[in-house]
Amino acid sequence: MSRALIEVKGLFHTYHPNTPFAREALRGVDLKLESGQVLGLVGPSPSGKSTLLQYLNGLYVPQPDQGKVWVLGQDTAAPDTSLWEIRRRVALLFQQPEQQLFEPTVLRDVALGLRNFGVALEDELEKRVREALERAGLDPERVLRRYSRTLSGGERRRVALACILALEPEVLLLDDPLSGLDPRGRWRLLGVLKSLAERGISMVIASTRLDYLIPLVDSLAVMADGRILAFGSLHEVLNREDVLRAAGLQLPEIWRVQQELRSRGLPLGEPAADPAEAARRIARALGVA
Amino acid sequence: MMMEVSRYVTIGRYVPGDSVLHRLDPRTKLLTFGLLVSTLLVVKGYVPYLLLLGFAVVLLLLSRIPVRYVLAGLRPALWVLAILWVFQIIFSGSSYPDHPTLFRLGSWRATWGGVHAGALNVLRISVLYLLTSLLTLTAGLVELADAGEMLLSPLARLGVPLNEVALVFTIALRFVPTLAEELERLVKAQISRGARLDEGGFLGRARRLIPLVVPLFLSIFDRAEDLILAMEARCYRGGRGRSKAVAFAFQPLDALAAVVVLAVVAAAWLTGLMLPF
Amino acid sequence: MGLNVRRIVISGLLGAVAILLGATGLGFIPVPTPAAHATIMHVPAVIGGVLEGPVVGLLVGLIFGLFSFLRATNPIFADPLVAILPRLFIGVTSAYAYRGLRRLGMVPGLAVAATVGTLTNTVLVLAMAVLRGYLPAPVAWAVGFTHGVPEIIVAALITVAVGLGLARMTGWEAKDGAS
Repeated sequence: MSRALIEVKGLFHTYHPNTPFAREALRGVDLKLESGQVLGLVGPSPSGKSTLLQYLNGLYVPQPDQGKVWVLGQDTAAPDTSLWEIRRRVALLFQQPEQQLFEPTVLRDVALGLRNFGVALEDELEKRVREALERAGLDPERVLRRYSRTLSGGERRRVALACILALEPEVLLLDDPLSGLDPRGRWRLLGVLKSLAERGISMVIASTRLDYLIPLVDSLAVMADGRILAFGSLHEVLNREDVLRAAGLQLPEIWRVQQELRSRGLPLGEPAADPAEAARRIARALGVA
Repeated sequence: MMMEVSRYVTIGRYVPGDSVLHRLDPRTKLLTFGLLVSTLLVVKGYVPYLLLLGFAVVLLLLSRIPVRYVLAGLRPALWVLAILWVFQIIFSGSSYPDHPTLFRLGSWRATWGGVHAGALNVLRISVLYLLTSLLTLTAGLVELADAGEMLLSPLARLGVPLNEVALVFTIALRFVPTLAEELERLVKAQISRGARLDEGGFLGRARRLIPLVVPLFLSIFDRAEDLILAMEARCYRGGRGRSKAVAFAFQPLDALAAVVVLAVVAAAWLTGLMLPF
Repeated sequence: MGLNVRRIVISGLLGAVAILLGATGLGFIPVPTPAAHATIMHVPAVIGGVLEGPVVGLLVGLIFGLFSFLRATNPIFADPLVAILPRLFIGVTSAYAYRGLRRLGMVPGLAVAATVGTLTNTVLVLAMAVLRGYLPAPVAWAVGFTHGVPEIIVAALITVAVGLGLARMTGWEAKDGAS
């Protein structure tokens, strides 16, 4: 039986069940991620995005009556599934991951997962760490021996990303990776994520904002109140204005400008996310290019 | 699973209710509790202990908290109590040199003195356990902290920084859930990065504990800086003039409770002093 | 030595950690004795004493003691003389041990202070248990050894790591040029 890289069917999750604090976080979620695809998971906080990502990382496992989760073709609730193995191959970058650096130095922090999972021999640890830092857009020479708490917020977040890149996962799960960063940190990390996407790594990226996701993702799932309101290709979902409004999401200005022009009769195709590309298309449509 | 534990952290065990015990002023609860506990610590003897045990059971019934719920908490302690009793019997020879020997175990000599002393201890601890359970089941911790502050307020006049200490308690209770969430994030992050927290012997577990506990401590100092700034920005200067969110008021019921407890305590003291067992 | 805002806040937060370690069971490390667990619940008091002085150490110890009395996991802690009284001294002895020894350097100072604080806890609790008649002295010795040694090791490791982390993070103790 061939399955998608990740598949979720009818998933429910309740925090603090059977207590006065019970809160339903997921109410029947269906989702699919194909190999090489970048999927955006967008919705307000809380809408269940983080909980869902934790299911995909094997941190939560559905009870029989809570639905099904298949990761890399394996049912995570099956007794012979190694969640430990799944956590390496489908790695999760938590929200605000810079608060979860454990070790005194960057080198040891990035090496922590390599050691835990036993994926690198001791003598090649440092080489692997350097490669991971480079892929995360950091200069290994500069940060390798530093104490991670002395780095800037954006750098620490990229160290946290390096921690999971070092494991060479097949799928990256990123929980609101750009939140709380300053513009420069955001821009740098966005660049890193784009280059990862171009290298064909499958990703699920959760975010509360559409504008960061649009240039990164192929498909989009809109979440609100523990439900998936819409799921499909980026363009399909972005045209579902009703859904976006229901989830309290705003389209990027550049997108709305193109939609407005189209509705006024300008012969534009699907809107473009990239401002330069959008300008080119508008100019062409106006006959000035 | 271990990471789920922090989701269910409850520090108090308060079970809301409308029983006679619940309705008492928290100061009455704390004061009578203190009286009963200090009696248990000083008085010794089967009669006073059984008297207090009987009283504690009556209170338990009055509280209308399911007896099974309270006893479920006592059950694991009973094993330890039983083991301690056995130890006290086996090693009692040197404490009771003139008591006849029950049996010997190697060079150790068991005596009736040990059996009695152990039995008294089991009784005393059981009553203490029941009383503490009753207190924490019928009163919230914040309420008790406020009551304690009010009861001890004369100490403030002697220069004890009582308001400040009360604030320390408030902060501690307030931040347990926040830190529990923080801890949960750390546990999940560790597991996600391949740690196997539940496996291994003492050394393995200790080694894995450190990457959880050390960041937790460090995060406290981050938090502390923010909290200090916030308090100073609001011109916090000691607790003088701080008012309570809830005002307590003694009712006739409190007077009745005080009289009953005083009578029980007096009876325990008298029987403890006058009866030879 | 008064209770300024800083000391109030840090005592409260460290007290919260002590409660949390007890409430989650994370503070317990299984050791093969009838009492079943070694504990690190006293470490917040040690850290409070070392970093902020004896008053903070005393307050954190008080919170630890009250909590272990109200939520006694081991029946002998249902006796407040065993549960609360000894705990008041943990942070105080650690504070003075660190002050006396920090000229040896930060790491040895922290390790010794943690050892002193842990011994304060183990010895005073067991002595009180023996005095109150709950434990025969030979059993107390055995428990003291099987619990004391692992508790000292773990407490020292954590205290040193926290001290080093703080030194890097906030420059704590940097003025001494220690470490």
